[in-house]
Amino acid sequence: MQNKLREIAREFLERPEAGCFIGYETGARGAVQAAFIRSPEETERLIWNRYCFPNLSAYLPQFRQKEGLTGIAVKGCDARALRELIRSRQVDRAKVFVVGIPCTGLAGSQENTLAERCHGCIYPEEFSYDAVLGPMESPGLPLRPENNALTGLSPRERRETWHAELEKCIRCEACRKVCYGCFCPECIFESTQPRWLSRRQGLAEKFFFHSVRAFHLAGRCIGCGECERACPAGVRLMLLNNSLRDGAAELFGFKGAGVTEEAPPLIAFSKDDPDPFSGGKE
Amino acid sequence: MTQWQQFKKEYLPAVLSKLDEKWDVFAPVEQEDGFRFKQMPAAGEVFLGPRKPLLPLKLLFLPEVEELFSYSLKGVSPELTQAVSGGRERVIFGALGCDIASLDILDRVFLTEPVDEAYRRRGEQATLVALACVGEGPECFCTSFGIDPLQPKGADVILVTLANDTPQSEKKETKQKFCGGAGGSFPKEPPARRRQEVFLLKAFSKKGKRLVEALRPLLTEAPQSDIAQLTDLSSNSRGDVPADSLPREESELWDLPLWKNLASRCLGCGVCTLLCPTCYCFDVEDERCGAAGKRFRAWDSCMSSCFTKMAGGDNPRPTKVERVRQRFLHKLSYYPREKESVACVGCGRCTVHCPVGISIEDVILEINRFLASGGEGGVFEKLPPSTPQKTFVDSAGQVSRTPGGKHE
Repeated sequence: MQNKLREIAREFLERPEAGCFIGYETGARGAVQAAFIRSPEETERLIWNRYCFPNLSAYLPQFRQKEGLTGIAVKGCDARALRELIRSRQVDRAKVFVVGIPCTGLAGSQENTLAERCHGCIYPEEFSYDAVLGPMESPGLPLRPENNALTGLSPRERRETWHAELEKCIRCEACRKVCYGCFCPECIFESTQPRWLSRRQGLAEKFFFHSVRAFHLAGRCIGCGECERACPAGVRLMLLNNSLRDGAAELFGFKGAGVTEEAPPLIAFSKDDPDPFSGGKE
Repeated sequence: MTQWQQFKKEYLPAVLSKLDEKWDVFAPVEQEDGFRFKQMPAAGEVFLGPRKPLLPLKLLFLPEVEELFSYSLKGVSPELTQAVSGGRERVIFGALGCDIASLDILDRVFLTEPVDEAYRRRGEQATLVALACVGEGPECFCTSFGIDPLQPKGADVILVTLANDTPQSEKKETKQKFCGGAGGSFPKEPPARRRQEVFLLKAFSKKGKRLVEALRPLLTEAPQSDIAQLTDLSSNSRGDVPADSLPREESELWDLPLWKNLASRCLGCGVCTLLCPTCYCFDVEDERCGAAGKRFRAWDSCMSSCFTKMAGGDNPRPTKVERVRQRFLHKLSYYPREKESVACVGCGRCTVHCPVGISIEDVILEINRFLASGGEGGVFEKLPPSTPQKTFVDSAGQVSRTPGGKHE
């Protein structure tokens, strides 16, 4: 599969309109990292394996001003992110060359386990790739009960769970920076005039940051789990994301961001909105 | 009391509570929120070993958030109230060499005129008990900066863990697995060396002597056989990273292709700066409520886009390229030019926790390679993966680093 990827990338970069191909490579210390390939000869660096964690689509918005085509290798979660970026007009479909990688699940923290994020992975439906390394079908890994540890907890227990999780946060905001969906030119947490959130390190500030972040991504989170991987403090961010995903599915019958062309429920208007909050039509 | 003293591991709780009678005791503990320095921990949770707490020691000297003063505008003239300072003296128990060395780098900033009083007071009130460190993992390269992790300069007391029951052959087993970006998981099977039975300690300063004196009822003189074992200790920290030889004129390093390459991968999250024991930038903020308010300072990061943002909206470091360059050149070139020391202690926290695998060590090697080639090549990302930075040979012709595969 790796050889085929290199071959496709090489052919792509030989085209005069091609600029950069984004894929994976082995970094100087043995860990997989994003590779930005600019010439056909460099395509030998490209790799594909179970450790290719980074969501490459998150790098695409920084190429939007560039002339020429940008090539990108996408696995299932990256493809969902890419579709969302295209739908929200952050990426011009005509300016990307998309190579689909049929991923059967990334490596978990223990040997022979699957990464937490891969359970319940659904590939985008009817998405058009420019090239594929194989059939782009969901690997069929069912969700596990652990994927939403909050089910069945009382509001009080939930609050305690969040407090314990968010207490760990050191407010580096790596979760925000690594996220494909955080493409605002200026984030509210970067604004200094006005300063919406104090730099204090209290639970209140941490709660504010994480709840605002989660709600901005409610229904838009594509479940790549990159925020949780990037977090140096081990905050289980996917708990929050997953519970919002489940809410969107339950209330709006939403299949998940990037799975179909449908816009996430909180940014779409529908006359048939069930509106269960105000006792509207159910 | 300048001889090596010892106490058995079972006495650790007693030692800590004895210290607590006179000092506020801080030590690295493993709790739900990770491995961090905490005040007066229950001794059972204290972990003394070659493992770095997530947040560096600087947080006990330059806290993440520190109130400076409060003010009131109610009266005829504004009223200022200095934040309360003081409190008991502190013992920091079980700090590692890299973190202790970082205090010297902070001292050169905060103890030169104008002296930062809060920082100075914390330094004066702290007694540092260093744990002789055999090196945590492959990210460690403190010895490249002349730091002795077994006997760090600046420590008031040195504490050594000795595993008397460890067979000779196992003693060399000092390598640990690289934890990747996952945040450093606690090894499940404790390595053989953690079966330490005794702690040896010795004072290296006046403050240290006071501490050892306070513990006297719990200590016995260390037997010669144990002291002899100290010479067997060695650290796996790598000392061959050429960090101190970079030019201090920024123009030479300003236009390296490296900055652009790093910037395309860097997320600009600032994990590296927050976890760095030598990063000391802070921001000052006012919190006003009606006619009264507070002013405090909090850690800031040069990787953040608003770090250099001016009131008028202009930003002299508009993209990640300038910000990445600033972070590395400040540590490796500007600070050394002003303060005669590289602003890095080789703890490797930034390398371990960077979500996209950027490492200051690789940057140092890359700059050296660039300079050695006379400005040719040296484009970080153009290196074939099979020949990582190990091609660097120092002037003595020594290549003691193993290939990159070691970090698997």
